[in-house]
Amino acid sequence: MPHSLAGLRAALGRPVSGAGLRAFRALFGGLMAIGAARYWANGWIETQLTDPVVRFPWPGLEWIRPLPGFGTHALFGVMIVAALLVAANRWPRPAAAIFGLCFTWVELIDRSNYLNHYYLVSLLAVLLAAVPAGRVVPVGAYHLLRFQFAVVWIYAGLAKLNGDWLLRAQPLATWLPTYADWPVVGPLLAAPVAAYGFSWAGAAFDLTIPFMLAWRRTRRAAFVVAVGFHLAVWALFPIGIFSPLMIAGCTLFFAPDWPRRGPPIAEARPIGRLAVLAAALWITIQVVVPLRCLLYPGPVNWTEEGFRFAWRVMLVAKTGRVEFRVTPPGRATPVIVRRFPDLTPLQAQMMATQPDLIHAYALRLARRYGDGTALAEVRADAVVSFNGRPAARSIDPSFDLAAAPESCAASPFIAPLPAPGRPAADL
Amino acid sequence: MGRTPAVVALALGAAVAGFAGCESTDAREQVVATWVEALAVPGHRAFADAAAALAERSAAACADDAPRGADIDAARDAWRAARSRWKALDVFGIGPYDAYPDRLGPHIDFRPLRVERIEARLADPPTADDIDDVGAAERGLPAIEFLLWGAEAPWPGARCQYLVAATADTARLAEALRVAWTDDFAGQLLAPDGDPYADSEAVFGALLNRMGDLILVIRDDRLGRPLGDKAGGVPQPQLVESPFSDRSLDDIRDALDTVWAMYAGAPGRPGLAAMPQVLARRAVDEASTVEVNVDARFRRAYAEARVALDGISSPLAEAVVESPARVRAAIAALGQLQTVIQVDLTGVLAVQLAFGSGDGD
Repeated sequence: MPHSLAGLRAALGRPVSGAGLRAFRALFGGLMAIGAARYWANGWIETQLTDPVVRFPWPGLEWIRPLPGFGTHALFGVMIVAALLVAANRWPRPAAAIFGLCFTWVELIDRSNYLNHYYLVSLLAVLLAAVPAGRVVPVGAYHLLRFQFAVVWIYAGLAKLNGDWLLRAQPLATWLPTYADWPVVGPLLAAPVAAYGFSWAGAAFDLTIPFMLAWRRTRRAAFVVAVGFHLAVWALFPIGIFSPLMIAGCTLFFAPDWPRRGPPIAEARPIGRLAVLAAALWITIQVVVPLRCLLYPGPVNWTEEGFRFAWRVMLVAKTGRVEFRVTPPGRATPVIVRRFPDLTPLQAQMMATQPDLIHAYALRLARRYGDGTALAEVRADAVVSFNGRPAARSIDPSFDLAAAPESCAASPFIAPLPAPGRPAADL
Repeated sequence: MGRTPAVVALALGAAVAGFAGCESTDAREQVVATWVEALAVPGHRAFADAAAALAERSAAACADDAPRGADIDAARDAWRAARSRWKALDVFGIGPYDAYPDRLGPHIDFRPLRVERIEARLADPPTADDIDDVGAAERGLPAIEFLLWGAEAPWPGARCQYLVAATADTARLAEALRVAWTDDFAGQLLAPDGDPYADSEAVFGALLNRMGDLILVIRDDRLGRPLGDKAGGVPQPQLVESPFSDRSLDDIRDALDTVWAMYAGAPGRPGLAAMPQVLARRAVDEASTVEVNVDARFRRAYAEARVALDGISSPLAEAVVESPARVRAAIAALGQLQTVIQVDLTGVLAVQLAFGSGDGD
């Protein structure tokens, strides 16, 4: 255990084979190329990026937009080529940087498209652009990537330590019965005990798998379990490349020379101070950012404040609907907005259950129905069914959403999660 | 071959055989079968028959030089019957209804009706041979309604010529819609092969979404717009459906009847209420409060919506001006029903509102 910065630099700089990292690059690049091509082939470039006439930009990043003309498709073309270069280990660091830039641009175009595994891909692209890619690399490169995957698993596991997941087996108790028609295993999946079994096993898996993979004696078994777990999740839920990506991440925990044994590497070169500082900053951010939900009142899975960038995966089943009462300046009677032809079905679905998107759309309505000098007042009638609960109001219907600017502060308009047994929402 | 590989091979073989030999017991498929075989297909047949009867009655009323009042009344009754069958199909406005190349629905029921164009056409009315050249806003059930009730042109003459042409055209379109459903689209829903629906889950979700969307359309277009919801509260009575026949509220009731049938099922056929998830939820929640019982909530919301609709005095065009609070109450009651369908039921049944839109996590 190093007791000084110099000792830490020496320990992290211990040279090891780069073969394991190279294998991970090959898997990552291959998956990303497939993922980008699949996104294109499914028509999602159009439906999610270029077709929407209204976007939900990230505050402060409104300038990130789809590129004009064929530009967004070209961006995906560049992304695929860059991913293939990463996979082939040709200029892997610049290629990872270019891939990450393109991917993150696309990811940031619309908040309603946010997915945790998209965020993970961006982070991994940054790390792969930053860490050495030679035949011999400092062991710190492995540690940093292992840490990144461990953060995902552990925060995902910690997020599962709540009543809904452990005591009500939600949302799996809602999702699994939809597979009742599967031959042989369907009736088993539909049984309530299956939801509890999957819930508890899932939490246990997330909380222990990085340690089991890190410990040499349990590594083989842990890898088999991880592959089985992620394949099962992949089969059951539409989570795209997330499962294969996590399986690829497991290989980082193997001995660095697992793909190809080479001669012993003797020469040690401490890594630079700047690299240690950058890694420390990265680690701090990764540890702190998921915890920001603690700064907000109310259950995060309900309010969704601090929900993103926190690895809160598979925790929430929400269905909802929303309509707005818009009172233009100088008018007493509101205009009722019940339908959203300017939104795509996915955007409308996401908005109906996410308070910050409801707020963003309300601000848009406030400007649209304003008179140029004053905003319209906008109130939302929004109801959500959350993890099997009956529909309940998610937004205070008396709150003028136009009066609240978008900010990182706690949203005063989010209705509290009703206690069990309260009357159903009226709308 | 050693013992272990042999055992593994046998186990794999047994598993494959087990999968292959298992017949699907998908409750969604059974419910979709009810919706298609017991509601949509017979409903389209009934509408085609009613549209044919309307064409016959209209032709009979116009056979004499000066139609008698009883003949006109018979034609009007036939229109009401056809309209009732048609509105019962509201929730099935997919496939050949709105998809190219058929896109039959808008030619049967297009709004807003262009009354001024129809009146202009009465100077040189279309015949059965050239009605295809007439725009959607000047043909179909709304145009026929106007010709039967609203037009000021005298009988028979041009009004009769237009009526006969329009009713024959609607009967032809109704039959084409029936054939499209019976011969093709019903099969696509019952055995989806990827186009337009990937699987039975997609079909089920699409039709469940149609239920919720229909309630939204009723609230927003058929009640809310005439009430002035888009006009700052100023009533717009000219925007009601079926204004000339005073059938606006019955149109809504007919549409709701099918929503109820989709939930409750047909004789001997399961509806949503028989879905295992809904049944399980009901069983679990019977010991709890009624508010968390999705089955009870649906039944109560539906009943209250019907009561609220019945509380609106007919015609709707007058009610939106004279008793707007009752119309507002119906919109609110229908909102509860919409919530139960779009929020509670889709939640319990884990149906996504938008399919094929992307991945999740």
